[in-house]
Amino acid sequence: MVRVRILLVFCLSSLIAAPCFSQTWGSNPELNAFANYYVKSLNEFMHRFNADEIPAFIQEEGKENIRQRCIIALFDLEQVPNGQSEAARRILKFDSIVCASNILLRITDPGLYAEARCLFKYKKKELELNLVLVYDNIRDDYYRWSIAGVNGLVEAGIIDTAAYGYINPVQHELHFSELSQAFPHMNGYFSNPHDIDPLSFFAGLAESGALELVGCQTVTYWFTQVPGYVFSVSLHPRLNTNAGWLIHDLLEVKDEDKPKIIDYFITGK
Amino acid sequence: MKRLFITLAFCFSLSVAAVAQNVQLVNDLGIQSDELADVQERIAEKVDDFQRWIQDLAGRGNVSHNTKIEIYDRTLKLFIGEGKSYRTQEPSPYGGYIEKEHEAVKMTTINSKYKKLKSHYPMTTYLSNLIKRSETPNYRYSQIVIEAADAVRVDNFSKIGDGRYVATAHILQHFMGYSSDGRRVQYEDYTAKTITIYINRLEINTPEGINVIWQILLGDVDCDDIW
Repeated sequence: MVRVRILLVFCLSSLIAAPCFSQTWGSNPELNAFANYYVKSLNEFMHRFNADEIPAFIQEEGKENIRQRCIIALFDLEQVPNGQSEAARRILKFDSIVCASNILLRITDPGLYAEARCLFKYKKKELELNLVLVYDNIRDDYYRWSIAGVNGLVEAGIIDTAAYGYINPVQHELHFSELSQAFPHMNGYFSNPHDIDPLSFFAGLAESGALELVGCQTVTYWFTQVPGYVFSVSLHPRLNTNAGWLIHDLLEVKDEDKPKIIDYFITGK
Repeated sequence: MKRLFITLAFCFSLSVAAVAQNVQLVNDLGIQSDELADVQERIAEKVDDFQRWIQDLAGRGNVSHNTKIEIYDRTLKLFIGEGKSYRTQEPSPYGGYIEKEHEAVKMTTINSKYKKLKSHYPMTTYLSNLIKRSETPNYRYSQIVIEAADAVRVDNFSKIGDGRYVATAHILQHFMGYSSDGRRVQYEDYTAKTITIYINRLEINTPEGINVIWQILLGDVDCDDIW
């Protein structure tokens, strides 16, 4: 453990304190050198995490604890200023669990979620929603990404669980003539507003043409496969040796609580 | 010199590791490993051509207008649909494949590292704009230089049909816009870009037997981020 801690401190000092290349760049060899550190894709992230693709700068530091060092270098180390002890301790603990249990990440694993922050046009205004996508097996060797959830409709006030509409108690005798009040803004008229399924609501908005996709702005991947943890991987574009697709959030979560967290993640409830 | 040597050693070891990894990946998909080297090389060549020709189109004064038009045409031929809408076959969950019509290949750009606004252009528009800007007198930059990292990472091989695959290529570019007097870099940024790659295994009957040809076509180009 002491040895791995020393490795972490070494990685932190060499990765964080490494000078920014922007001062001296101007020729391709330096751009190439940067390209070796930069984690260019989720695929590269997973191969480095599994240590079946070991970057040259890790190999150069020796043959021991290679996987530990690969994983440490995949953390957004700017979140751990000066090797901050609590954050470093959490990274080391995670690192040791993954290595001891030989946990490998594959894109086909259940438990991987992509959160796409998308920009839409809704009633002539910009609206930001997070779509949750999963990697589905269609058949045989064929896969696709598919939409599993949407977040942000409640926060944007489009699904308003606090709204309240009133249809008077004798309306049944009048063929519910006051139902027209519930259109088009139906929010307050549901028996249980918390039962509104955001994905169906979203599909209705899209189908009616009320929602127009402008584009996907950023993507964050959430991994839930590691026992006791949920972590996110997002893009960290910057000119140093700790850049590209890196682990940003590391949450310690009991395995029995994960279904609830995943459900909240997908439905927002 | 020592630094250059270390850099080259880095690049070589990384590319060897990347290729070794992809051998395993692609073998899982049923492509023979000796065919992989050819596919990898072809993809890298196509991406290199794309990067080199973009630099030619963006450069001011180095390349004549007529040559730029030729390069424009050559660049479009690298892409699926050659700048026009195109069709692909996608696997259906019920067996067989579904024909799908796509808009012409798109290029996503981010306007600057300060505002970070993403825009999507048809590739034809993107390439035409490069030429227009390079030939506009008093354009905000006297010269534009686009450098690219040599190492092209090719990964995410996925099967989409019999002998048909998609993959991604990842590139890093350094953009520099020079001031009107041409003496200083007025604006520079770095971008990470991802290119969709369509790979088709074609079998051609010849008198000597069946020849296998790997057709490589580039697809949409996305700008991951800018800094």
